[in-house]
Amino acid sequence: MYKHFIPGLFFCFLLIIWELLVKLFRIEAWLLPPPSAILFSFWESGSLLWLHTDRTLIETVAGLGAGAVSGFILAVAMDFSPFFKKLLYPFLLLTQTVPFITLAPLLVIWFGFGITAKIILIAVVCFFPVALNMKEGLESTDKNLQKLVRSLGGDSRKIFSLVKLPSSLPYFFSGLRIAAAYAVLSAVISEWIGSDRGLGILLIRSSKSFQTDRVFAVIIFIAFITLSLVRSIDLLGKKIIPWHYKYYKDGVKI
Amino acid sequence: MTSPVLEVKSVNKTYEITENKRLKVLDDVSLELKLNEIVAVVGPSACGKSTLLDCISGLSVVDQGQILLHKNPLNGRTGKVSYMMQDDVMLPWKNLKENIMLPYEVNGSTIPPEKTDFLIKLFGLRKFMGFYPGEVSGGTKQRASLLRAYVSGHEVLLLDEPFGKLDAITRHGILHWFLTIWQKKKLSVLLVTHDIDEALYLSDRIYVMSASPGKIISEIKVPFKRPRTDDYIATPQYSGLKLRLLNLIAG
Repeated sequence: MYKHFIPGLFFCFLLIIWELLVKLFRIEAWLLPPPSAILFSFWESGSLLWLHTDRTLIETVAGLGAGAVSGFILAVAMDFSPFFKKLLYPFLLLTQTVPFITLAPLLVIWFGFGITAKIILIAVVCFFPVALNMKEGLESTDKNLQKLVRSLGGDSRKIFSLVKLPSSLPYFFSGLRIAAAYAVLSAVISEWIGSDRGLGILLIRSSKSFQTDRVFAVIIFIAFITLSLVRSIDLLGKKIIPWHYKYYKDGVKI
Repeated sequence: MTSPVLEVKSVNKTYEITENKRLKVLDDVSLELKLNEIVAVVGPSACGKSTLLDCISGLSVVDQGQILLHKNPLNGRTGKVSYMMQDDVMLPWKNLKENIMLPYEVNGSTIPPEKTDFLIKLFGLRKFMGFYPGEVSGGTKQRASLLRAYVSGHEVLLLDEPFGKLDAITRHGILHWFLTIWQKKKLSVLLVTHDIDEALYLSDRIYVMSASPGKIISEIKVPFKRPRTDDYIATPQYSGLKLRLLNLIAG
């Protein structure tokens, strides 16, 4: 707890400076609202925020889930079939450089302004970090561990379930972590393109009507959602791969 | 004379490192292991001892020659012999108990707990059962992997440097246990080691292997009677045998 105390105090200090500067120089609220106004806006538009959050959250979780599951399946399929890997891996590498968020307008043409287009976009964006990480995890599995299970008479399915899968789960989770941040981002951006509900559209509306305090509130809220999502994934990881967290603290082997 | 349980007949193995860089590891290696016999293969580091065990266990396929288990060719088939690999290979995501029980899990059979509980106690492993391999010492892991090889339950037991990381006291206890078990269970043991004292203490015969390529250069009968007490170490016969082995290994 103590390690968060001093940065927290520093953050409060920065907020006070901000508040004072805005008051001192009489900066217009539509240009830069003081922290107190942003806080008030949370209270004022709280129900509005929640109203738009459920849509964004559904899109994010559904898209992330679909992307993660299909990324996982592809990585496993490539591991079982060398031909499949040879066929698809070059594409996987190539598509890493494509900013998939630019597909949003295209998906709107195909699927309209509804939730489907958003979920597909998020799934596509989340698919790649999960697939690539999982593939790397499967490939970096310790050869000696595979030898061990093989020497006991285990076939390739046993090697997969006893060695490769648990060994690559930490990679899967780090992929999922990256994907989660992308997912919220993609949800918000795809809502900008057009939607009837969602935090992205609330953000745009607030911006167009110069309700800058609410713009801040929505941004903070989106950041909060992303953080909670990443944190839930970390907690899930700790549940599923406890041995990993026993050896590694903050990513360093102990 | 009993017929051999395990026969290695003129085995050759070459590793292809790159396209034009090849390394011959085993050169016409032949040996045999009889029922209820302990045979040691000694040799310098990197002489192909581990490769030999890999081939017998079926993990590696030989280029030429044959490996026979009760006269049946074994080439490339795994799960027919118990094998304790070097480096105490343990699954990091399973605790020590689950690692020891791995042979049962791989074969999908049920675990007889009363038998293993006794062994776990004997190996001094009881208090470590809930620990992950990363949390215990090398010696503890070594005992656990020896136990795992034993519980996999085959008649032929291959051991690759099985006692190297144990402290002198634990080692003495384990070696003693090992000889007792061996006598009771009619195990046939092929042991690979670079420790001459260990080979002389445990085995009935010793094959001496030369390095690169690995070749059997000598076969020595160990004349000491069983059960062996510690007294024979002080005999001139022991010293003479040890010196002979050292000279053979040095080439």
